Amino acid sequence: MKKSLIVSLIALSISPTLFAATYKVEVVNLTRGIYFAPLLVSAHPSTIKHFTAGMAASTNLQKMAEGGDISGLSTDMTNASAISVANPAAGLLAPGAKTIADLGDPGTANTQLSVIGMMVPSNDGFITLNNITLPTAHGTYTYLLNGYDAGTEANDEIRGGGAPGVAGMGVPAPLEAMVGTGGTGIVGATAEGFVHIHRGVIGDQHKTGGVSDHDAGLHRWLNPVARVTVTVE
Amino acid sequence: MKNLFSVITTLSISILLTACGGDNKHNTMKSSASISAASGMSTSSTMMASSTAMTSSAVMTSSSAISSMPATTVVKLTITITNLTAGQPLSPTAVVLHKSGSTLFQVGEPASVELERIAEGGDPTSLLEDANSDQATWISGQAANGILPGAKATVMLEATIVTADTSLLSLTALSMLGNTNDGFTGLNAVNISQLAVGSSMTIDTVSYDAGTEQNTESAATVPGPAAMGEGFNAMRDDNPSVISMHSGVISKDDDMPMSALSHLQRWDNPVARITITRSAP
Repeated sequence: MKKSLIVSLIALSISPTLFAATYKVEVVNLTRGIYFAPLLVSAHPSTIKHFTAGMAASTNLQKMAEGGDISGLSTDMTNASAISVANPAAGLLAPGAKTIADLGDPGTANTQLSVIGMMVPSNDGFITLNNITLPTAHGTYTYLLNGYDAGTEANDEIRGGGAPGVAGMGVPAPLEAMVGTGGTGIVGATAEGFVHIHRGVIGDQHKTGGVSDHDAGLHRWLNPVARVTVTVE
Repeated sequence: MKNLFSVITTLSISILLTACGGDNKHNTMKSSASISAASGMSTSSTMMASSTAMTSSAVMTSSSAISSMPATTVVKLTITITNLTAGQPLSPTAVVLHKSGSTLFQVGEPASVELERIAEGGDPTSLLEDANSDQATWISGQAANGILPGAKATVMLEATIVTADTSLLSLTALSMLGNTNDGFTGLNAVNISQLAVGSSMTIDTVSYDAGTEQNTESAATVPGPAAMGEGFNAMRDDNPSVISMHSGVISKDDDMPMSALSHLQRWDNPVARITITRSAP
């Protein structure tokens, strides 16, 4: 009994190589007016993940969520022997646009998939597919993604900086004309302290002034905000 | 367009007639796991991680090769659409049974004029005419009336198709959210080839913005009962001018004084529940 168990365990450990698979990950921006900052797409071991909902964000998650900087999260993944594609869209992914990250064959240890990127403009909003188990059978698999809030910055909805800890929203040059100016800021907003599903933005009807620099007609969203399609070949 | 929504007032009677055929207690997967391979999003969409690469169980029998005529299968479907919103009447749903690979809309692409007529005015006529002239379409149908919040409607479709094509069975459904400028919901080429006779599948649908009309929410431009404004207008003045997920309405209760809408017309996803049942011919 014991012997046969060990034999079958050995067979199991070999079998994944028999089913070696390559992975392509397509990300579609489903929103009306929110851009995605550079995305990080990673096949990684189950020993690492970007965040846990309900827990405080790491500094590297904060950098991504407040300023779109994925370098810290990318290094975390590399240190865990993950296979990542950083910034597959070569810049901002516009509403309605799609991009494909080719992960190739990530190897048997990288059993998980994570996709992450900032929602722009926002204070600390991001899209993510967090630590799902990669499918192994050949085929096409689709996932609908929700908007998350890193909980590291108050959602004041006015212009500011993208560096961690700097209040307000960093606005990249291509979006300059789409973001208002001179908003007084949403009253009572505070950094929530934990990662959670984003409650959305308020915005207003005023290009200049008003309570928010978000355009209520353009920057509000309802979930889902992105679609990820994984092709296993 | 106004008359389309005035029809809605008579709807409550027809609902009583259709309700008996309706609620399947949301039996999402009655027969096989592959049936969960569906959502309102696109051809290849699956709600959560289900393979669309599964081979079809419907195959041509070898005996059919004897006959010069290809073997055929009768596909009989009952589609029930339930309006899950609080204050958005749905226009009479257009339903098209067609071959996979063909889509009537895609997020990120401009809407066709036929879709614009549904999204802005709730009128499915030209979209169905257009679909019926397409070789990819087997059959189409529409709900007899609009669907009030909380109400449901049923559409029956029956088509005789070449058995070898049953692996291509796809369904598209489209309805306007009446109290919007150009909001709509539905199914986007959902593959139903794995739906066995006697089984049903249920999909909750999300709301889209056609990108064909600016979301002014004004009394002049929203055709539903909350405003009774204009329906279809060929002018395209939206930005972005492509189909996207709808961001919801703002309403006069939320810093949009010119809006004809109030909190009563706001919604969140999902907005409709669509059950597809395949019955024996």
